[in-house]
Amino acid sequence: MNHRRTGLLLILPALATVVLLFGGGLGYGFAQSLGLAGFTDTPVGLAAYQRVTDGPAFTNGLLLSLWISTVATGLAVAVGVAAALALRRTAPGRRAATFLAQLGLPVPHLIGAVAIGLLLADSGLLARAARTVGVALPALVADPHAVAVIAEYVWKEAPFVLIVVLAALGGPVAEHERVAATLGARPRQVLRHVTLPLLAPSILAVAVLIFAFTLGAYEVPALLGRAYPQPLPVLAYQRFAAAELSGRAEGIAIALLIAVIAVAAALAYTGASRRAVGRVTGARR
Amino acid sequence: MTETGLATGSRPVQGARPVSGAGPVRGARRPRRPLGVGLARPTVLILTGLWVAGPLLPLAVQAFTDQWFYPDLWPNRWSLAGWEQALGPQSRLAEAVATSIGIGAAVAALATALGAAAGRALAWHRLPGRRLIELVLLAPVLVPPFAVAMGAQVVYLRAGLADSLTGVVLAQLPAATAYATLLMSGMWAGVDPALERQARTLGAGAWRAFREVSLPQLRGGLVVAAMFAFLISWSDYLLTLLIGGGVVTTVPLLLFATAAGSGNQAATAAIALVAVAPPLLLTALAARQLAGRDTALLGVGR
Amino acid sequence: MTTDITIADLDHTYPGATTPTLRRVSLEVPAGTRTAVLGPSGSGKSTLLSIVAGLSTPTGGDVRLAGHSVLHQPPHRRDLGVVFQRPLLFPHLTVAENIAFGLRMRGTDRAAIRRRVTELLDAVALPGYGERRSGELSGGQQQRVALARALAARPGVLLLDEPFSALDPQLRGDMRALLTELHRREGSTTLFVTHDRDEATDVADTVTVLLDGRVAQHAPPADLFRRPATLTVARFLGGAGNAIPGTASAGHFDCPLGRLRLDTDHRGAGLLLIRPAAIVVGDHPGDNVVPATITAVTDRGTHLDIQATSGGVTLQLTTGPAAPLRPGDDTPLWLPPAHLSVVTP
Repeated sequence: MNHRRTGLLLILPALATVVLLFGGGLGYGFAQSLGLAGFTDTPVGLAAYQRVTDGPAFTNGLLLSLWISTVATGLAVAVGVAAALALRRTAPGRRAATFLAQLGLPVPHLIGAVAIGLLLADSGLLARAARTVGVALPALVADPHAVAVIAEYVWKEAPFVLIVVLAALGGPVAEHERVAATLGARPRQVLRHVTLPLLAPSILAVAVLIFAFTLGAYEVPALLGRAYPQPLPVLAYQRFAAAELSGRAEGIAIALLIAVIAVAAALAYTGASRRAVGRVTGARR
Repeated sequence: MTETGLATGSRPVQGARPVSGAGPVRGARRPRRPLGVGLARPTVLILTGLWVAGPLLPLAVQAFTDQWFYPDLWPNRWSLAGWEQALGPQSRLAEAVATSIGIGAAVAALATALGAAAGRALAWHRLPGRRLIELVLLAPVLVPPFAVAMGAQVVYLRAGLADSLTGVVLAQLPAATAYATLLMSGMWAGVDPALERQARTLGAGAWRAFREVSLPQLRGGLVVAAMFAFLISWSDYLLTLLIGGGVVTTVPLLLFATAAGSGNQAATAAIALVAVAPPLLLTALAARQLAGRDTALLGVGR
Repeated sequence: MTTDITIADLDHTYPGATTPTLRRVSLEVPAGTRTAVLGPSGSGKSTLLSIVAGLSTPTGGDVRLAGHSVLHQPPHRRDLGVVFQRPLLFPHLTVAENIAFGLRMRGTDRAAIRRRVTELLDAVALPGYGERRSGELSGGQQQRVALARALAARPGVLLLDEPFSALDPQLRGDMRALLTELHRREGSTTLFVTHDRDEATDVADTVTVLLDGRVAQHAPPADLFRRPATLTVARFLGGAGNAIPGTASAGHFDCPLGRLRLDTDHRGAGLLLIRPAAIVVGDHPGDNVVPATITAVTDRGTHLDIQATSGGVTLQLTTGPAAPLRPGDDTPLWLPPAHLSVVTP
């Protein structure tokens, strides 16, 4: 129908931009990683992937990346959800907090990394404060547990969680909570049996976005992490930018592996959420 | 209008009275609020403020000092040395700001135009393969963009676009377009298609109907979309590095180089302040437009 | 197990509002009975219900359930069930889990919960629907589940806030019948808020008319129409079609129609009210027959709307559709004493 064609014509430019510039790069990169294209001296096949995954640098990098993303996601979600639940009651407080949180969101991660670096470095503000009260802090920047990296992610993403959860709480959640109270549910039971289940789809979606993002982010660990082991994005860039040509295929291979993990996490989420979302939105269909 | 729909809670029914505190009360006629809850609210609000601003404030101090001995809690000497270096003759900050603004403006203009058209299609039109289209548009949210840039770099090199402004704009465009589309489809959903149809019956052509009827309602949304596209571009580091090859120097590239390479904390802090100003300013200005469009912020988190 | 509800001198003003929403509202609902609070939107009736439920705190007065003040009890300790205008079924739970919710919160054992859920699904005519999601049900079915959910824990008090007004008229009638049936089985003391006259008189044994935050009248349904307490109540109930000024004395009302016999406590100047449908065309042995001239007849299909004059007063009345009346006809009209009331002008 005419209506349908107009729709396709309208969406085509944007779709083409994403498919060509994004999908194209992805596909061409995949071909290079298999030695099928580009200037690489990689033989055709999975050689690049074998070279990359062989050895402790990749394994340790993968473990470190998963550690950083899991802990950062978990903490950001915990902090954001707790803050949202504490803030929801008063209208003015809610608005002010949303504004503050919004203000923090567009601060680039690179700046966050610089700021957190100044705060947590060996001679940073936190160390000075601790020293004043007589406590010697362990190293927090470039430390084995990537504390500074995780701190930056949690700092940046918790307000994001706060905003999304506050928005979700603005829906019919409060009404359902009231019904639960009239049915005899104690406050804690309301939280467990009504509030959290109703928020679950939003929380899960945010968690996946944060997980995927932190898994593929470069600047923060590059600035605040240690030289070894390196999380996967840093490893990928270093291989890619290395002098020898074969490094290019290896870097791309690592980058694609990160993408696969991120997408797998998202698919696992859609599997979980289709059930959850189906329950929630089903009411309106 | 004094009545409150119990179910709709259209008024701040003190309803959902925090049910936590119900101990013995004597002779109280007025609604009782447990002390803990009363204190928790401002505390959480203050904590939110500290959380967001806390790490940024030391930047502002650091930028104005050149002597801050460990373990003093306050700088030993104030100085503009950091700014002199950041803005001085050898510095390329002014040039980097100009480059960043140029790239950001181009990305914003293109992404907003593409997103506005696509958003209308998503919100108003019946589309074949809608789920697939939405999935494609979500891809840049999930797949780290540098995976794309690494693969595409060769193509940019061969096309002569590597190390060029155009190349960087093209590299940043898909993610910005995807976000602008998702954002604009939400905006379009808030506009009633019947109004344009009404305008058509009154003699307006398709384009005229859009311009006179829908566009004024979308203006706020377009501003927000453009702002976000700009900020996505303004924040980007790795794509610019990969495609711009270090030749195209934007503010993040300069900041990273100074932070990682120079050890000059005052200059680093000064550049960071320059880099953080536009996002803070734009978001504060657009705060009203943002209300209720929280998903729009997805894109800028990165 | 039922509970009587006592509402005593309830005042409520919303923060920032200049006029109070409720003023000195007192109301007694004896155990096991059904009272409807009837009022237009803005009368404060939903606020009243929300205070009884514990979802709002009044600025003054008291609410007692079974003789004990519950003002400082949160909703979950008040032993009540509430059904709102929207069903508000928990979307993440099945129908059975929704109904079981209150019992689960109380730690009832599973077998007992299952029995009760099955029993209630039968009672609301949804047997076998237990495993469905709320989204798969129609609006009427959802509201039936909400009703079952509110009753599951056998609360002493059942509160309903315009529970059927979102449903279509046909369904509304069925729901009223279901509610009456459920009340007979379960016996919870019921307080029912509505703006619909028919709904109030159909479901309740006593009706409280709430106007501008005040109790304007509290009476059994029939009395409400026959003897409205004030002109405002009569207008709200659609019964102010004929309001004739005159003077009331013991057993009489003198007005341009003549001296009418009636039973009233009112003395002095007042307005005589009679509903158009209560006027009988034709002669009648005894008092209160007045000569009249028909001035207009409008055929409404189901009935005739008739205008008549008598003693210079215009009267509105209705008759069956077949009444042989034409403009210009002279006919006596009987104004039955039981349907006459006098209110302050």
